[in-house]
Amino acid sequence: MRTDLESAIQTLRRHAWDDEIQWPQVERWLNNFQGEVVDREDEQLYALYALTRFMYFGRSLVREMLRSLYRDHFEAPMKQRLRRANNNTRDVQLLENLYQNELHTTRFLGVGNPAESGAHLLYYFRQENHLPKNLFADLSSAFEPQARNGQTVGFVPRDKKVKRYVFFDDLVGSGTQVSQYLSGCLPSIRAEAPNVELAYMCLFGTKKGMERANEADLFDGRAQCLFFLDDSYKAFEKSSRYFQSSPTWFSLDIMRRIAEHYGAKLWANDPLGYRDGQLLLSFSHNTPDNAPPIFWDENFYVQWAPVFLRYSKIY
Amino acid sequence: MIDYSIYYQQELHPSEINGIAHHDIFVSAFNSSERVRKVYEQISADRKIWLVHPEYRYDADELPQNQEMVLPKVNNEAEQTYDLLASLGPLDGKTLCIDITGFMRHVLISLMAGLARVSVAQVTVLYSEPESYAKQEATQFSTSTSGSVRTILGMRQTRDEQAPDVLILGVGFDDKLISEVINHKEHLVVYPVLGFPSLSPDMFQQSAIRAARSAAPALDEAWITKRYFAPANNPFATATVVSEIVKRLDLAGIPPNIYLSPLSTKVQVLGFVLYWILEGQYRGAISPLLPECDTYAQETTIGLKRLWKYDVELQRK
Repeated sequence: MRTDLESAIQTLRRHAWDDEIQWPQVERWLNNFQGEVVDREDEQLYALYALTRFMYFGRSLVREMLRSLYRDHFEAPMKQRLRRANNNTRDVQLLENLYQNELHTTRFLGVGNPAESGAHLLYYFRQENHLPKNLFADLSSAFEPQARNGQTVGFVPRDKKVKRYVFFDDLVGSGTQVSQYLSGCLPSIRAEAPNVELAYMCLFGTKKGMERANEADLFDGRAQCLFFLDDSYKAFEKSSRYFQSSPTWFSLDIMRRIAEHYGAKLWANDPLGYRDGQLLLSFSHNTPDNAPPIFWDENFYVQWAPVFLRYSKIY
Repeated sequence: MIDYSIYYQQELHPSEINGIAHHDIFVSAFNSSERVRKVYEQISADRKIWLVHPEYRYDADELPQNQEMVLPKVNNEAEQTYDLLASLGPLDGKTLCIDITGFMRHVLISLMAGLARVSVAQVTVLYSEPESYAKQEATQFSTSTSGSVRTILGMRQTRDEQAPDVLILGVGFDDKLISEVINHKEHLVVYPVLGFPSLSPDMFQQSAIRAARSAAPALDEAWITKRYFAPANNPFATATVVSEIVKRLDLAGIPPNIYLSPLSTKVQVLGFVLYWILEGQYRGAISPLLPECDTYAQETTIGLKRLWKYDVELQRK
């Protein structure tokens, strides 16, 4: 049984994870499970099985997602809109020219400051899609704060020719971050420049996060994600898709107890991930804190070897 | 040059099926998936036709009552296409909608090429995405094959004996079929096209595990170094990727003989055949190739996540 699981992980490492996770890393991680919930061997079997269900996206897949997000979710829908507006023309050159005009009146911005993962990925987004530098901006270079009595009361687009701003992020989990960064300024931009389009694109969005992003004070129905994570992506709930066709020895209850027990030692308030995220998800550039800490935590106080690293940010 | 991104596509919620414009004729391949039945029931059309593939091996008492059906007797795709087109009658001025979800791959390829050949300009194609596959990476699709791998009837193009042979392989869950195709000929250079973005994020890893099982050790490296990606639910992006691969191969040296073998989602099959219809057949030495399926599982999926509508334009001008 253990051999089969180890072999499945070896296959994943080679064929899906691009050899970015080394086998000794997996072994060190397995050694964290020392039989505090059930037998040590059984705990390690559960840990191995959970790892075969875990979704890890290496560098090449992240780049592919960035390409698809642009090609299939920005360029193609825009060209189809232009085609519809031009009597269903099949004049490819005309559509390309019209598209270039639209593209050059678009600005892509990261959510958060330039050191955050969304903004960081914009560099690769630009590279993969051969886009010029001037299509990218940050909040302060794109919008001018309007102050009254020394207090910022609104934001105005600096470049009047820009028709749309597309905000970009890797993951919207609970929706807290996007809300903190943008719910204060988007309504004022909308009030100052009602014809400007404000849109949002991300690689992964949870149900809760996408609902928040699509609220009126944020993107008002113009938020989209490449991969939608519905509640079946909550790993330890009854509706979990990860463990849908598990072997007969597997019990979701034991799996949850193991994750909760060790998770609580690492992150007492959120043993299954930030705001009970329960996402089995990681990228080459980072692991979101919505994933259970047993996979990523490198705790200072508790000896714990993570399998997917998380580079914690200091806010 | 064909810009496939200008072709219309639309994502629909399952509750929006009855909002799809009325068509003169609707065709769907009968199988036991809830998503296939649901679309058939809710779509608006003057004529609704079930194509019953013999590969599903339905008994007469399992088939729907009082509904129009085409029941080909043999697996051969040319005859299945002929039977279907004959029952549709003249298509001039008629609007046609096809749900490709339950179609057998070889018949789907043959039918699209057949429609293009009889000068159908446009067809509305529907595809319903499952919530998940029934047994994740253990799901069985083709229950048995004849062991023979061959080009689709009526679509084989002359091979250049001096040129190398290349296989552009749409990689899906069906490792047995993948294995048959890559092993059927010696000195075949394989370019795997992986379905990514996948229908859902967990499906990519499931298909990677399955595909790895089928790859001969010699192909292990090609699996990593020669791979391309195309979205599992976008035929136009898939056609773009296939077109790019062929262009790169043609620029790199002697233009090779190319075999197109889409063993992935039906949407990717549509993308591969659309490339062949609009570009490949004019380049020459490009032939669609598949293993022969004897029987096929009647149900492999759970639920209906969303529906895709593609306006497929089959003529170059």
